[in-house]
Amino acid sequence: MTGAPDLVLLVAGIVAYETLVRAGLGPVAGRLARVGADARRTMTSTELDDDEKERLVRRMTGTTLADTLRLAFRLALVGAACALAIWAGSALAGVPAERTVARAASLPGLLGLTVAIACWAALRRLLARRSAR
Amino acid sequence: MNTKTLAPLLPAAALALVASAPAHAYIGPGVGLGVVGTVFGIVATLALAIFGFLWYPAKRLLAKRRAAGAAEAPAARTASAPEPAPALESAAADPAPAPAAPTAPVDARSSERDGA
Repeated sequence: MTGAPDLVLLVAGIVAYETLVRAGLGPVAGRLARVGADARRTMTSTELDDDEKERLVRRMTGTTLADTLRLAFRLALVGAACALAIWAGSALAGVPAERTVARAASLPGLLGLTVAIACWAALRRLLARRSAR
Repeated sequence: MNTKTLAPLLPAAALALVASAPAHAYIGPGVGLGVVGTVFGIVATLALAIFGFLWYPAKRLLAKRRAAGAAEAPAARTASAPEPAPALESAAADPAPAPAAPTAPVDARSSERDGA
């Protein structure tokens, strides 16, 4: 990874990663992954009557819809943050967005960015551990 | 599916892999998983909505109808058979006329015997 498009790509990748981490997608995705099992357990329960099951299933419908919208919105936010970084690179550093996107889709770009994000994540964890001490 | 069924598909799959043009549409694992999660969430929401807003109300309605039908059936049975009830009532109210009929000939016979 060399040159201005690589630098813009690196910044965009780190911005996207930070947005992804701070968006708190983990709990939302976990709830969505559990909803099938929870619904099945509720509907096949022998301890609950039908009115109670109906009430619980309706509540689950609402929370699942809210979680789905939350997940989609946060993913769109990550994409928007990445696009904003690429646009900023284009506007401030004069690096065409097409070149950055083409570099991001190439194999060296993908591998380099993956390694860079892994290093950033490790550094982030190390700093967090140090500040916790 | 056994190997005999799969065998003709293998050359076709190999040809499809060789002949396919690059799509230039890379989707990373993050976005891919996110899209899969969102689609799963939409499907789960629809399924839960069908159960919560259609299935349980329909089930309750059917149970109500069945209960109403079960309650109407004995009433209809009693309403369709009114004949034995008055007969029993009259028999209980006045038991005397029934044995009165056979006594008349006996009396007549005795009066004839007396007359003779």
